[in-house]
Amino acid sequence: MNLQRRIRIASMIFGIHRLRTRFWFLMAHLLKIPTKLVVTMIHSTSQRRVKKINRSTAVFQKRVDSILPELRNLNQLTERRRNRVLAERSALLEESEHLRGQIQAPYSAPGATALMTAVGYFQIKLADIGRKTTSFSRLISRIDCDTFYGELLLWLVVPCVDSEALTGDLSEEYLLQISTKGEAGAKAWYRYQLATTLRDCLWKKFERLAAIGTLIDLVGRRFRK
Amino acid sequence: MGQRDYLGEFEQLVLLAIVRLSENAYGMTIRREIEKRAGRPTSIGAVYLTLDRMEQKGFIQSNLGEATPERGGRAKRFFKVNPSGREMLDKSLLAVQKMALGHFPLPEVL
Repeated sequence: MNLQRRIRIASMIFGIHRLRTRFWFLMAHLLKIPTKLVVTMIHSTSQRRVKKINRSTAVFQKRVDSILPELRNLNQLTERRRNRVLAERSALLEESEHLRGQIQAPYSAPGATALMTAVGYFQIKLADIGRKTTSFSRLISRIDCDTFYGELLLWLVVPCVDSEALTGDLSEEYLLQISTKGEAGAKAWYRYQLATTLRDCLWKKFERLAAIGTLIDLVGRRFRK
Repeated sequence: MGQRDYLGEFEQLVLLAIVRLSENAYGMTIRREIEKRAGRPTSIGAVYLTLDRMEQKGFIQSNLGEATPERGGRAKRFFKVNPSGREMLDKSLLAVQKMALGHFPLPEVL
């Protein structure tokens, strides 16, 4: 076992991981600009809306005040006047529902939904990077074990949501295989599992890339037409 | 329901393995169970990809267990079948039984 070579390879791969991490942090930093823009737009929209609601509420209050005395003495009014007051009351009730709807409606701005989706995506991506880094430190603590290179490959290829559990499962089973099949048998079993797992995960990544490629191609054709 | 209204053959095997293993269903035991009972050599990667897909569809759920030294300090990820997964599994098995009825006598399970 050449420990120095292992350390060299691991630090090289971690260097690539650090570059990826910096790229995603930079992207997250760049996302600040549209976020500030959307927040400002939401703020100004809300200010305008508050002013509009205040004006409508003042008008509404005046209308209520104007019919309130007559509503209290409804029996003393003429038939025609009573009908008019009751009609005004119904109109005011409708108006109050409309005002309530305006007050309760959420504030929005153009692009806010797209931005929220992007922020959610970045949150997931940064959490994944954090998990990968923790996972790497665990990998380095086992740099002298037989399965180090296999674990390093799994760390690189397997999606990080599965990476830890999958690598742990393989390590556990590998120890079990040593006791039943001997070291050579266990190594052969581990290599088979590693190769098939890498094949399946890479195929999945390839399928995703192919799907994105097809989508881009379809959009491109639509624009060319 | 989910993205589609049926289960693939491997998805059925994985769900059945989780049901059989109940509390002890994690990646490696599921793989072992499929290999032992269905006689089908399976990679742990294929098992995890299927588990992820079914978790996204809401058929199963997972939670992290304890980390042990023989696993290199890594936690186990235990799986449990949701009611929607159970319903889907029952539907799929019933469909197979209905198709086989009268033409393919089902072999006795040992």
